[in-house]
Amino acid sequence: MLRLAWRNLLRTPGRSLVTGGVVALVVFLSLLFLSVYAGAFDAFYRLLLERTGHLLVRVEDYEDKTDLESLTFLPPSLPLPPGAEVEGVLEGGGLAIVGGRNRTVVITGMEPRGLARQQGLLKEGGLPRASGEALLGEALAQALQVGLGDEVVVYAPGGFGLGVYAFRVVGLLDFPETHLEAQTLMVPLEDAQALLAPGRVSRLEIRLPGLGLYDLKALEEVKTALAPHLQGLKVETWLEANPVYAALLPLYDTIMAIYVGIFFVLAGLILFNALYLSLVERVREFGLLAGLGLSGRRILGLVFWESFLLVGVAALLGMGAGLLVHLELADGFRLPLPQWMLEQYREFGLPEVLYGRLGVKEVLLTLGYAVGVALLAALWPGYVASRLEPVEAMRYVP
Amino acid sequence: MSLLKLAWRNVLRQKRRTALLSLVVVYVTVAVLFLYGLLDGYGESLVEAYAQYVQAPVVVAKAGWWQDPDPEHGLEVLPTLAHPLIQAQSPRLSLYALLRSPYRVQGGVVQGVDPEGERALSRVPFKVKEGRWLSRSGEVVLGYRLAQRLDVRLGERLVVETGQGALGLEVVGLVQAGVGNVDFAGVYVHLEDARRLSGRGILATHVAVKVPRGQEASVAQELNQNLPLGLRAKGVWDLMGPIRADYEGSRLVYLPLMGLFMLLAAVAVVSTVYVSVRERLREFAVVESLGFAPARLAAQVALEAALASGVGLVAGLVLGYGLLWYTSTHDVFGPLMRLSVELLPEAGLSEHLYTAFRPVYGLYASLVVALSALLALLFPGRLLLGLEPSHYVKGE
Repeated sequence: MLRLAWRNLLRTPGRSLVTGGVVALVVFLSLLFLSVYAGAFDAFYRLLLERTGHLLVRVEDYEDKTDLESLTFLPPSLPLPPGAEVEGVLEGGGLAIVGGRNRTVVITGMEPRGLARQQGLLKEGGLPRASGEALLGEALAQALQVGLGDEVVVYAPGGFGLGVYAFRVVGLLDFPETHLEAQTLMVPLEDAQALLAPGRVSRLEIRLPGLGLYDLKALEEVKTALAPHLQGLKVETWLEANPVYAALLPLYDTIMAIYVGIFFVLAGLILFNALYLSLVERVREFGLLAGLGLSGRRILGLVFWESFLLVGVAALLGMGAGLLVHLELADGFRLPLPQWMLEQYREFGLPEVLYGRLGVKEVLLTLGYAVGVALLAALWPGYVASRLEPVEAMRYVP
Repeated sequence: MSLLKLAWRNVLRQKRRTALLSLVVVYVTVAVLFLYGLLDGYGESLVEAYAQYVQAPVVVAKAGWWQDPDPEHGLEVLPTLAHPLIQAQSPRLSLYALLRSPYRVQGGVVQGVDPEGERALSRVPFKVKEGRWLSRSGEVVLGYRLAQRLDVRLGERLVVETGQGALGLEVVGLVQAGVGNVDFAGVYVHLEDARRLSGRGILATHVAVKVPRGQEASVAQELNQNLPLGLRAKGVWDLMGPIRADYEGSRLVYLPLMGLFMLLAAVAVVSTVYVSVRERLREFAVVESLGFAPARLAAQVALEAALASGVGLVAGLVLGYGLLWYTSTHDVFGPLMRLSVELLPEAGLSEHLYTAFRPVYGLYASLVVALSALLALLFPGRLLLGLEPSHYVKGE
């Protein structure tokens, strides 16, 4: 039956090639699309993870609290797994004033390790090494018209610290997002505490070595182990701490499935047409086969085999090409868009260089669609072929 | 006409086959219509958000302010803007300020506006969800999400501080516009208060101008030719932030994809026509031996392909426009847009997205008919051009 199906496909090489080509193209495009989108999504999330750490400890019900006093806490000592790093961060709003100019800023107090992590963003100058030194977003420095060595007065009322502090600019940071760059002021944690809340932090960031982007199960285990040691505090994974991003994750799978489905419906309709044409051309032949004793079930099987062979070979070719291109994408790629557009996309946290990702899930989704399409497209032509009356079919004139 | 009649009869000879290939064309037509409607609807929602809520259809400011939006580059004298298409204009003064409620401190951009002028210009005054719009100095209206963050309610006082001054203002209104920038970051104060807070002798930082929809770029361009030296006007598309790239990037990605869809549909049509031609080679040979030119036969095949795909196109247009009508009148994408606004509150996205509904989409979709006819001429048509009538008439 398999051989017969194969031979039948080769009898109309042009049509088989066109239909198979469409299926292969759809499989190829689906893999390409999934790889690019997963890469973009990963980049988006990786940036978030880098900024927040794997786990965050904050005060309980922080969402409902507004004043700095109830939002900050004295950092407790935590029993962490080996290699894990914990950093205290204190964040608050303020006004940076230089002469007649002022800009609203987010003051972020960081431990030396946290400040050192900003090295990659450093555009000019160095990291703060002493009290009273600050890193400014480049856009903020431009707006305030200050440079390295200049003084910025930060006014931050509403806390229970000094409320006013003078910093010397020692470094300028280049963030992908201009709106973030325009309000970033990073200072040593002790300075931020003196300004806003002595001895306190607004969050603890925990970074765990060797954990991938979506290793959420391992994070849950650490989280469970930490929970009993946190009185009045709450530990969350980086995704829980960003609920909007967490809501996007399941939505992403659905949207991708719909997108790929749109391609495959088209391929399925074209395949359906091809199988039906093939049936119409061979009505007399099917009648003869039935007359010679081939059961309706076996005729149905023949049509299915033709569909599966055509889709199978095409899907393999498409997948081969798709995986080859994906390997290239996995090494890093730029979206084929004008430079100004890529720069604008950076404003949403999407870096210019992305890394394609194809997981088993994505490959199975594509294969699942291909198999589904082969099955559905063959159903009706197969049914019609299996129900042909031999005598009538042999007399059939198109 | 007889050629058309003949082609139509041939298309109807195989009703089931025609129906099947029409399915492909229907699908592609619906996809083309919907995607165009969605992309244009997205663009329109951005224009609406920026022109009516976030900015204005046209904004005039000093060239220096466009580079460095600081009150230092504000307007000491308000320019006289004359253009027949200007429907309203009003000065605005934007400032960076610290907002202090009894519980919380947050930075933001304060928009100093003329309360009455703003009514003629923007939709924000009409989107007050609680309380009322500004009427005099000493008042502030906030985006409702910002008010939640600041934990401030109607009647309470909010301190607005700049490096040059501070004012305690009464919260008189909360705005819910369904546009991220307004709801999450909108701070509207009386122009007089903003002037005081700026600490400079400026009257405004820019002038917002209302012009008819679709005329923003041309009015800005024409204004630029007559504006006093140092002033520059920008239309709404130039006022958009990075979100414009998302819209234009989407067009760059999806429009070629639609082209590919149409090509594949045309290929499906042609492969059916090819089988139909092969079945009728003897018929064509007889017709040719009766004096029909091969080119005419090829034209008939192209016409058959066009008619067969035309049937699908008509059905697709009915379905596609039905879908567009529904999505242009119902907020189907609302939940997705609300999530996007939460994710990117300062991108200028609107919480609602309605697809656009334009007759021209039908013209774009009809390209599939032209493509089908062209491909039919190239492939099955070529079969007829090389036909040897004697060979087929004999029945070999």
